[in-house]
Amino acid sequence: MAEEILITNNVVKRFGGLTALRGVSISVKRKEILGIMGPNGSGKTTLINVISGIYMPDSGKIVFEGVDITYEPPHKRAKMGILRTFQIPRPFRRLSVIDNVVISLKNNPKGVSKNIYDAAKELLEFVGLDRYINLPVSHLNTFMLRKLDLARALALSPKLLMIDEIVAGLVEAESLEISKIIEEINRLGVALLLVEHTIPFLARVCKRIIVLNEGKVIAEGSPEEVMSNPVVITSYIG
Amino acid sequence: MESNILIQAIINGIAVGGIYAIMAVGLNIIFGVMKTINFAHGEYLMIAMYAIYWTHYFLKIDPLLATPISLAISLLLGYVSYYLVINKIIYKEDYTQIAVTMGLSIFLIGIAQLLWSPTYRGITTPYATRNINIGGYYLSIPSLMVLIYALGVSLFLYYFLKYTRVGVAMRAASQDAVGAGLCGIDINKIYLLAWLFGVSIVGTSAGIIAGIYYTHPYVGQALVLYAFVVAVIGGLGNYIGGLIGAFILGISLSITTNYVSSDLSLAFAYLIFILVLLIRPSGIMGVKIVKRA
Amino acid sequence: MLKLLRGLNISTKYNRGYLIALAILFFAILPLFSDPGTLRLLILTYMTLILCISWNIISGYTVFLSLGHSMFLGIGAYTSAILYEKYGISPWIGMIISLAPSTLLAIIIGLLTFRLHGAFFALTTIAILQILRLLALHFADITGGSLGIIYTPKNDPYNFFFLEVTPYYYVIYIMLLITIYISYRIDRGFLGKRLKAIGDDEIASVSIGIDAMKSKLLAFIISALIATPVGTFYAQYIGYIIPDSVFDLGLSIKVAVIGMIGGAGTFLGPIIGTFILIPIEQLLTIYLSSYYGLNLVIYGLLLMITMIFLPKGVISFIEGFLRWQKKY
Repeated sequence: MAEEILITNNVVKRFGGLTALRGVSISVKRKEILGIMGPNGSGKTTLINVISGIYMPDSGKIVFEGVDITYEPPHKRAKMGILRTFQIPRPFRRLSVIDNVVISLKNNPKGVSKNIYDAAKELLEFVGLDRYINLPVSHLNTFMLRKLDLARALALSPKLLMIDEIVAGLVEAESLEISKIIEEINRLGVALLLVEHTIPFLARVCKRIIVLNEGKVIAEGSPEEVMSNPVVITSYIG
Repeated sequence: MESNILIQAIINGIAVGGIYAIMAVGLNIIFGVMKTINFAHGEYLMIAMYAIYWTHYFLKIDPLLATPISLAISLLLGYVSYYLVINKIIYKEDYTQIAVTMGLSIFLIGIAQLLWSPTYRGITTPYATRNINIGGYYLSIPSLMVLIYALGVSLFLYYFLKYTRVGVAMRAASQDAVGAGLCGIDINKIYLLAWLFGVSIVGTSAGIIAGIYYTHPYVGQALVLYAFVVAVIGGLGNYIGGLIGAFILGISLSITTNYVSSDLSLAFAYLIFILVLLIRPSGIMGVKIVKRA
Repeated sequence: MLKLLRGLNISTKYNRGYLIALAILFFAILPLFSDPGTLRLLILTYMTLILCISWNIISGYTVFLSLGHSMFLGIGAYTSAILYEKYGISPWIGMIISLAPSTLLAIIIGLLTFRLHGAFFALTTIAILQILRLLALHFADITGGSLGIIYTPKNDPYNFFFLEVTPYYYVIYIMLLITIYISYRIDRGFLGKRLKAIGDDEIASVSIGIDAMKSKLLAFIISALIATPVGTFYAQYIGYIIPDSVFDLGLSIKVAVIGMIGGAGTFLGPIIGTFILIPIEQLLTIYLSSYYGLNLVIYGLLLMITMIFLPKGVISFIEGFLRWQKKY
């Protein structure tokens, strides 16, 4: 079994005149928690979108578990085990909280061994939403919606879970809760790719961080290495 | 194929294309700047045509001279509909915009039927049947007027968008509304302006159109579909593309009418539309539409 | 009055089932004590309702608005009529055969446009409708052109001809019950939830493994399968089909409008919408027929008001009322 679960090879993505990714090559090791950091507009979310399949790259390759998935449609990648959350949560508003998870569970390629609603309840308990199970989505605040995004992604038994700026705007207690959930997910064997804007949260949970700026990787290393890297510092301030 | 007939067909096609171009320009402005789909576009023309008709009927004024009236009516209708209906749906999804503008369209057609009955009403002008001679080929005077208007409007728009402050503001808004707002541009005013532009361009042409087509409640419906086809062919939101698309459609229709029966040629227009969807949904000059995976 | 409404507790399953069975029975025995005029009105209502439910399955849930739904009506009508006139095939069989071209058309349109913005789908359905209408006008030797196809009234049940209204009423009534059942199963089942997810947020839905194209195609095919037999029924019931009547843009739009006002993407929406708007339309025709165009004014106004203030349709208003009722 190869050590890397995901490799992107020189991925380029353009939108009209704007080049969001200028040849990004990263790798995610099995069961690691990798942080992706960068100022606004550095291409972090675009990278997730390309890996999850919402965008096709203009050039470059994406390899997951040894398979070239560069042109696979997103729903196939989800079933292969690549899942993600969204920067601004995207729940299904016409479905109840539990139905959001149920409809996700339905797509789990391994099938659900027990009653699907029980399985959904367990997932919601795992992220701490058990008290809101039958409510409509409109009753949830942003923090809860992010957790719902998470539960929905977990429903497909991810091998790689990409989380997009989940702690932005959260207070310390909420942030702590999220980091606990993330560590628990990792303990279950899931590789995680955490995208964040700033370093404190990443420093807590990641052993390795990659820094992007203007569509290129400018630094890679442990949180301490990255924090003291002068290139990184100028990219944020300069 | 006699090249004479072919060239005459092309000329006719350009004339027909002019009408489509006029309809499409307004649609493109509204979609380009406000990202709003206006299914009621044809009805602004229809109401303006009725204004022209009744002015001609009661005051015996020539339709062309009555153009200021149709312009005024279009602006008034545009203004009222904007504040009552349109500004509530600018930020909503496709689905709501289509539904509400469709509702507006149905409402206006209903009002027209109620007030003026479904009777077809024609205006005959002294120049309606006259032609000009271009090197042995014929172009009717009304068609000439359509072309002059279409090209005139396009030129006006070109310079307006490029060189005036308001025009540049509009272009900015069409590319990035939030960014434009942050630059101090009053987005709401721009949207209102774009809307008024869009509907008055089509409304002002009523003076010319009323002399070519019969005025009746569904006249807008008949033409607006072509406008959408043309807008898609040229690229949604792109005014130049709309112009090119209009002439391409007009000419292809005209040529097929000559060689195939005329009722099938209409089907042909829709077929072209579908082909464009198949091959290049962003149209000839549109921004490449991000296809869902 | 309020007390009476409070007493009418329809939230228990027992009461609801009882009411539904009663309603089904009521409409089933209606022909025994009504006049043909009422039956004709109900037949018209049922036809519109089936088309509206069919529309709702694709457009209500997924938000891809079909504005040319009449195309299936026309295919059903012309296919069975031509097969009967030219080959003597019973329209009952013709009704089944006509499902094939409809399904094919639905698949083609879906494959072409489901990957693009919803507006393209809407425009394409209008375009296809017009193309079919023009083709029907043009190939007159097959379709009768602008004169259409006319049936002589006769009594020939094996070939779907009846001389009285009542048998037609029962045919369409059974078709309606089947349609309502299919619609119920979809709404409560996983397909309905998938379609709602796709309609709410297609990007999120594919990110959790939903094959959006497959689900939308399935919905559109089911929609076509429901709508097409109504075309055959129309041909046999009215006895006269012309391109403008069965490939009718006005009808397509009306069906969509009823669906949107009633509540798109819900089970009861089309039913409520149809049972509100068709009677209104009939009343207008009877009492205010000189005010030609009034029904359009009302439809247009209702559509605008509903979509701006009650985007989920009248059904959401009723649900809100019931919730209020529960509190007190």
